[in-house]
Amino acid sequence: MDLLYDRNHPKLTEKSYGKLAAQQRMRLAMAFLNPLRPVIAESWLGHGKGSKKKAFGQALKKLMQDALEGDYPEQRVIPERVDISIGILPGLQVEDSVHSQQTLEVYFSSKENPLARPNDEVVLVVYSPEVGVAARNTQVCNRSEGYIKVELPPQLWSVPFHVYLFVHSASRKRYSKSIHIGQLGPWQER
Amino acid sequence: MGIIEKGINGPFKGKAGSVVGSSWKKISYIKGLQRKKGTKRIPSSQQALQQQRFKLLNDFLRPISDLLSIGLSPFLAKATSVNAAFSLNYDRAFSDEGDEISLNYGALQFSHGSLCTAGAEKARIENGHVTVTWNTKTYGMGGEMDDIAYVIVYHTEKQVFFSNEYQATRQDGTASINLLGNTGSELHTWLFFADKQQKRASRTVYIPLSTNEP
Repeated sequence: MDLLYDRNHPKLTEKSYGKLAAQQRMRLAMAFLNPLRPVIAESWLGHGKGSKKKAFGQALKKLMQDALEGDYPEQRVIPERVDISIGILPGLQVEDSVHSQQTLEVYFSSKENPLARPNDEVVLVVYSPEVGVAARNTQVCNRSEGYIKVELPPQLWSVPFHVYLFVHSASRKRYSKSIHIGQLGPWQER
Repeated sequence: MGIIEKGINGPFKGKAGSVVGSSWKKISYIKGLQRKKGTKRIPSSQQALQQQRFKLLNDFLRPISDLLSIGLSPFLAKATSVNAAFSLNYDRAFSDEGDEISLNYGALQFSHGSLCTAGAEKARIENGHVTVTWNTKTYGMGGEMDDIAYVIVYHTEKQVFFSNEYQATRQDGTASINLLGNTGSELHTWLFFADKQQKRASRTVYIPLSTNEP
């Protein structure tokens, strides 16, 4: 009976190496960026033509281009190369960081630049891809302050996490490229 | 079971000889007629094991289908809430100890999504109530203060579920579940959050229960 199968859909054969590799790349990139959606929706909005979905797609594309390494099946994301924000605003220089069990403090400086405004707002993001939990500073911090503090969620008290820092203008229209401060933790009492 | 995509005449519907065409949730199906009773082959030991697993997990999930439809709402376009939960849990749900198949309660997930879990979740049993507490802060990402907390408690001996009567929010930081006198057995507790519109949900967190009762 012709009804029982569709000639337009041939039987599935084994997936090719390239297809499996591309699928794994997509899966890895998606898993890494998904918990950061609230930040990316803002920081990549300029590249998404006003659409949060497109903004996330652009961030995903950039991650797949720049921050994946290895051959299938051992491909992995390099968090140091991930851009959680992008733009032309001048970034910051990290001077020091102080990590306690429940907080992270970062001291930074900013070079003189015609584009840099003292009231540019600084954003500090902590993120653990393993537990899928991220947090950012809830208090507004300006470029001129030189110091920012973020409270760590309980899920990050005992696991290592990545720290990203970026700046945006007071109007949230211009962003800087994010910098990866490093992987910190788990915190140990001295 | 074959699926025919819409062709020039549309999907096949109704009975034709020994096959029946139908559609469900916009998926078109062709099924064989039901076999007469008693004509089924006896399953092999592996088939029997598989059937046992399917039954165990499906029977466990069915009573909480309403909660599952909140926790798994993005996956319900082409599946029921129980089917979506079944497919989410099948690979991790069982702990095979010898010939006995049992559920690995700590690994079960009743929700999936990008909403953040609360952290510092604790559960204790006191005066016939399970009280669950969690961290109320949102840390500026992946959660709102008015996210609704769904607590599920399972009584293994009586095989019944209990849930919070009153909707607690993330901001409340606590929820209490009345066990209606059903104490004194192994209890399992889970917690997940969903936003007010019930569009996004968090992962489910299994909370080990501590007891204050003698």
